[in-house]
Amino acid sequence: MSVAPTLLEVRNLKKHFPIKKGLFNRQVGSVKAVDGISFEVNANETVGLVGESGCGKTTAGRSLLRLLEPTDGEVLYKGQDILKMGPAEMRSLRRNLQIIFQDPFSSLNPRMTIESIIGEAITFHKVAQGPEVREMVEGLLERVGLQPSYITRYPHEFSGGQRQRVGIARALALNPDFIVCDEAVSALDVSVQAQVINLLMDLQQEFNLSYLFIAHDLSVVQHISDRIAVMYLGQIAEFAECDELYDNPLHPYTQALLSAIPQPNPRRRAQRIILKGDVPSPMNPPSGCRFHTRCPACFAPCKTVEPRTVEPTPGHKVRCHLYDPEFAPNDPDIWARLPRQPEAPVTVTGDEGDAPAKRDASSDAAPDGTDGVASTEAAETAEPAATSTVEEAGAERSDVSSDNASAESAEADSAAKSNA
Amino acid sequence: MTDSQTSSSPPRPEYKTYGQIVWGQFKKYRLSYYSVYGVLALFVIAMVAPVLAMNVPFYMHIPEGVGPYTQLQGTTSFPWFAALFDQNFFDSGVDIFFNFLLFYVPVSLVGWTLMMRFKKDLTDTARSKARLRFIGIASLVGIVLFSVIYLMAFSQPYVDYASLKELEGARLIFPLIEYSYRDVDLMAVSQGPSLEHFLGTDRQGRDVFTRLIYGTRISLTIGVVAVSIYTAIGLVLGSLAGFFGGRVDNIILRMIEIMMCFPVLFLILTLAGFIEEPSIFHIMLIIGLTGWTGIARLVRGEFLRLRNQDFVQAAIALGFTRARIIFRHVLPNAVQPVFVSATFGVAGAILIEATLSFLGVGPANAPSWGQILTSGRNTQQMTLILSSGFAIFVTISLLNLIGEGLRDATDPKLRK
Ligand SMILES: Nc1ncnc2c1ncn2[C@@H]1O[C@H](COP(=O)(O)OP(=O)(O)OP(=O)(O)O)[C@@H](O)[C@H]1O
Ligand code: SF4
Ligand SMILES: [Mg+2]
Repeated sequence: MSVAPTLLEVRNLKKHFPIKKGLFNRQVGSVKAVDGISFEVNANETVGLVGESGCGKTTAGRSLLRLLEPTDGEVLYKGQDILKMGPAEMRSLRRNLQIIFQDPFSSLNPRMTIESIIGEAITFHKVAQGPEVREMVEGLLERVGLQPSYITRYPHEFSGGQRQRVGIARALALNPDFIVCDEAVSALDVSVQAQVINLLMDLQQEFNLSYLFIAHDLSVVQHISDRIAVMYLGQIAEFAECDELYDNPLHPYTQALLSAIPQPNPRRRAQRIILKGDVPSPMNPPSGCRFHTRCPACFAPCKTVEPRTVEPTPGHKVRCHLYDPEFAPNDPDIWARLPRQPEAPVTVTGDEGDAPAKRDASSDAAPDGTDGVASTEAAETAEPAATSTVEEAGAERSDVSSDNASAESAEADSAAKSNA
Repeated sequence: MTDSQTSSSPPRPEYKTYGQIVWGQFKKYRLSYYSVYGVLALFVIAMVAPVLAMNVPFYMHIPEGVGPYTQLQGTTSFPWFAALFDQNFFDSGVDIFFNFLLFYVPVSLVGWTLMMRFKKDLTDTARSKARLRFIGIASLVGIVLFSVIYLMAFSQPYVDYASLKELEGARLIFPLIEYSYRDVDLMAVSQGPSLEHFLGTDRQGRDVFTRLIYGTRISLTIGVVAVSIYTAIGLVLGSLAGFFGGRVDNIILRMIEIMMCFPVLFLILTLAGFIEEPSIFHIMLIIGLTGWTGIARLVRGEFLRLRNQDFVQAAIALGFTRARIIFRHVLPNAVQPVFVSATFGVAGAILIEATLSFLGVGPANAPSWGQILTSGRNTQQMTLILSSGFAIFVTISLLNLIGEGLRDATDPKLRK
């Protein structure tokens, strides 16, 4: 696959909703709906964003479009940080970044005809004027599989699937590069879901679009995504190419999610595990690894040290201590608790014995939530030879682990080769 | 393909707008639907009041050399028409306005019918659009015309037409009831019902039936204008609070809370007490300035709800300006509960006016129903109490029925 240029890059994006209470609206805490996520979307690519309900997918999608004002982070569109733009600049940039919503019944203004719903943006941004607008709207309707004569209708005359198509036509009206599809098909019947997904894929080819495709289960995104990010409690647990993620899920959470979808392919079949307990509250996330309360493989450092994002094989990022050379456990029992054994298990260094000491040392210095996914380029320039790169944002930590990482990189390298 | 209809039947040509759907729903609530006609009837009564009752003749012929008014001798005239716009005769703008409507509404209706004669082939949607445009233009022209007429301040010297009736050879054709609502007949004070005075007279000898008819004007005007004032205030403040949130919202919420600390009726009573001789405009203003909190909270809530709706988010994502989002996307979807609330509000305002008049701080000279009620109570006349009480009761019931029908018709959960 040729390397497409990065269209949109999200760096350490955060969105915390303040919780206010009392007479004077004092802030008593915050819901960390999105807590430092990083990923990039290349031109003409679809990135799937998956996670349980409430994990912050919608918040992430809306924050990166500035429909919600993010708390922190950067969103680079073609290299420009859109979070720093002024209102006027932002308005004109919005033509390139669009969104399709989950609920087809609240996404269209009930008081407007289809013509004005789709055509309003065309007139507003002066893409066309007069009778041309109507022609463009008719063309768009036809393109999304609706009759052009529908333009005089009101939204309530349509079925859910048809409304979703209108929503797609509206998003396409300004000829954007990037569309956030927030559970765009979740509210539709299964047969209609497939049609809409196929439509989105056709449009992607035709208009050279990139998608951030949000969904709450992995089976829907599998078909459409090039890469998939799995989200848990406001953070990205795993990010990998679609096939890689399905064939070789590393994070225990991803494995659990995958085991929940019926698999015809026996190679991918795993013992079905049901996650115990509920998703913890994002108001008060668990210490250490956010998944430790439900993780079948949870081991010593998980409860105290927040995991870093590591990249055991190139392009496959995972945020879990199991794959962090610094913490990776030697104990086969821990690995056995995983629903699926990773295909390229991380080779663990022989002197694992002194790891606990290091762990304690670093747990004191463990940055609270600041270690996000560093950008790929940064990691590559820092350590061009390494295939397994350890990335971090915490400055103190980089010293501790740099020699360790280089020592291990050779082994990881050979492991990857033998696997291939 | 289950949902894209590329090959199905040819499209139906007409689709209902949201307003048509609500109207269709509304029609199913029979009682509410008929109440609309009831209120229309009240409105017509208010308009045609001078046709029913006025002490000026439609037609008058006075022979040569007869009677006290030399300028009228030997003339044939139609004094009723001139008197309608005579500010000596009707000293309240409300009366002049309704008299103006008495001519303007029929003229507009005839104009509309003629227009539709020429454009028979219009579709339903096109017709309803044309109707809206016609109503808009007609109202605008009407307001301008009325302002011109009112500002001209036409007035005539007073003529006692009733006295001319007895003259030798004089011919005068009067309306059904030959009294105006201000006519004082000192010879017939506090009378019971008779052929001369259908509902008797009050303490000052004024014809109660006439006052009741003209009272319709007062009640409807007070209801509509007061509610318009507070709806406008509530819409603006509620929109600001709901859309911008934060500090703006906080300030407006505090204002609402302060207003709500005072019981509205006592606040109104206090304010009305400051005015020496309140006219109905004072009363409208007082009700208008005190009643906005409910609407403001309603609109604020609607804005908060709509702001997070996906179609508003989509409008932001499309890069529209704030003003466009407020006026094109949020407001049109927020006004529907306001409409319902305003309908109930009109009933409420009429009741408040009646209460104020009953307590003696209402409009001083206007023939308001509340005042008839008080004078009936003072003189122990059952006819006065019952007739004015009935008028208030009917009007308020009709309006409340409409409000309830509207509320249910706009509630998608109650769709029949
Ligand atoms: N405006 C808000 N104020 C406070 N908390 C919020 C707000 N919006 C979302 N949240 C919280 O943020 C968390 C993430 O919400 P979000 O809607 O992004 O989840 P999601 O992954 O899209 O879930 P779903 O699959 O149900 O759509 C939730 O815990 C939610 O309660
Ligand atoms: S860090 Fe520990 S608790 Fe978290 S997913 Fe990995 S093994 Fe499970
Ligand atoms: Mg969501």
